[in-house]
Amino acid sequence: MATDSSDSELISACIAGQSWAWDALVDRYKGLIYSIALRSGLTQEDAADVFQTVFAHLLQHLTTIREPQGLAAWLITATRRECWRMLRKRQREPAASEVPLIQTTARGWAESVQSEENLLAWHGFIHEALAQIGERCRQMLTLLYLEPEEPSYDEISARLGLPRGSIGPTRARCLAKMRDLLTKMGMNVK
Amino acid sequence: MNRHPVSLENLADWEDGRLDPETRRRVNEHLRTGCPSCQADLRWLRQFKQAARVQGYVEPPAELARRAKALYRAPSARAVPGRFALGSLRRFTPARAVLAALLLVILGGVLFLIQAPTVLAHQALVAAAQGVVQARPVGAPEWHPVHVGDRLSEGDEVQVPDGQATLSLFAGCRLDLSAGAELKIVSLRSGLLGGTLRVTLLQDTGVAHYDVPPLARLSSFTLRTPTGLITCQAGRFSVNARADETTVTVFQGTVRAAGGLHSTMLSAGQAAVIPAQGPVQVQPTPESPANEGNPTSGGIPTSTPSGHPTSTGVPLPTQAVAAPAGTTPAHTGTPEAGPQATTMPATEMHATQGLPTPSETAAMGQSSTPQAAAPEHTAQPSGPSGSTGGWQRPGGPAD
Repeated sequence: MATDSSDSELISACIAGQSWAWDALVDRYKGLIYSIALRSGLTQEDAADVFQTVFAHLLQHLTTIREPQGLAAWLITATRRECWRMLRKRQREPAASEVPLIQTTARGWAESVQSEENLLAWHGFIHEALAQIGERCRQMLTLLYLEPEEPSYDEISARLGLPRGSIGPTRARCLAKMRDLLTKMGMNVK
Repeated sequence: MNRHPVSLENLADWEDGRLDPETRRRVNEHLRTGCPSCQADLRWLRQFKQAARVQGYVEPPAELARRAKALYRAPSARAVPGRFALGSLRRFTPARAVLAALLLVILGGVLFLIQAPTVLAHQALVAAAQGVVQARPVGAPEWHPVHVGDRLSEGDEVQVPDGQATLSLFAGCRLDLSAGAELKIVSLRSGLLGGTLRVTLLQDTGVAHYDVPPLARLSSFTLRTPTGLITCQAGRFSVNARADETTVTVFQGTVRAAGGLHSTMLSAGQAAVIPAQGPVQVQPTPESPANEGNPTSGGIPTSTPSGHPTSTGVPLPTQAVAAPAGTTPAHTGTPEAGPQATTMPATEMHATQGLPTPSETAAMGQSSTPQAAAPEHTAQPSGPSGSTGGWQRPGGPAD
């Protein structure tokens, strides 16, 4: 369920007994939590356990989360903690291959993991925004930004059936819409 | 309105390296100015691109998400601490609504009990008694003597055939009955925690002086007489009750006097007559206090004079308190106290005094025991006009 409601609004709706809001929260963060669990080196089965535990934990603490706008960070921390517990339970240390792939900074592993996880959270929000942004923009932004390789304007023109000259303005319009949606959901760039 | 020289489209193409050389040069030039909105746009674009292409984002199996969603509806989740708000609000069934209403009613009842003066309050204490003072407990056929320290309850009656008596109610309410007075304690209630009080008295006949300390908002002090209704939230006043009229004289604070459909607010220095029929007749008392001539005519020193908040340091403004409106208190000695005092025969004037204030008590000295003071205050009936303050039995010549 895609929604442009912010996390604060969804949490308030959950507390007010609106089950749709809980569904929306699960949809918004399911990819983030599952991805972090898998990236921690857990098996799919253990990742599934962590996934369930983290959402149960969230449900318990909905009324006590002090900064609902920081829910993504809260979930990242909770997921990492559960992953660590699960790894301890399995009595294994994370192998070198399980260390996050991209280490963009030199400030150490933890910080790079945190920044990677923030990007994962953003990625989940982008997915959710794409579900609401309209077909034309979804196709355009997916081709331009989510495909592994950036296609040329000619390829885009051919695949979307758009005149080449209208691709630039359409992209700018779609990016502006995407930015609006993400901002509504609480994802800003400082 | 000036259009921004670099559009989001330009910036996106610039970031992706898709600009023609001329546009690229123009954008570069603009960016070198440090344009804040362009910087913000570029930061967002880079974050978006980076997040869009991040590796390792994996959607969980649909079944996993379904189970997580089901947590919200699972009964077990409701038992988890912290879920109380969710569980109770989401499942607001009619049965729960009835329960909630019931709780509200109980809560309201408790609040009512705490606030409303519905609980039997402490009994009235006989703080001083002199001469013949009698009481008749509720339901009892006969009168029996009352002594200092006795307690009277709601429904009890007290009369002073000869002498005087002081009753101390709770919260500083006091009343001083002079010879001939008859009183019934109709209601003596307080709130559960004592915050509010309800005093209702019935004064059938005679003269009595009342001292009501400032009462809380929901508290009330009500005095009924054969012809009127007197209420007071804070004040000192005297009442002379007869079958055909009631006279109220206010010394301090305000008092509402009502008779039939008429009522009026009296302030310090005013007196009023409440006749059996007709409106309340207000008449101001003389300007000068009446205690000039006989400031320490005294009263009965009570057992707890220092615990009397409203009388602390404030001598009674007048000692002749039961004089009917239009007359002058008997011992003022002013010319008005003579034949001009025509509202009521002078023989009906009764001089009494209020509770002694600490200063008055001190002025009396150690020798001013009730016994020592008694002869002075139980003097012979005063003369027709302006005799000094002494006690006179009402119901004498007037009746």
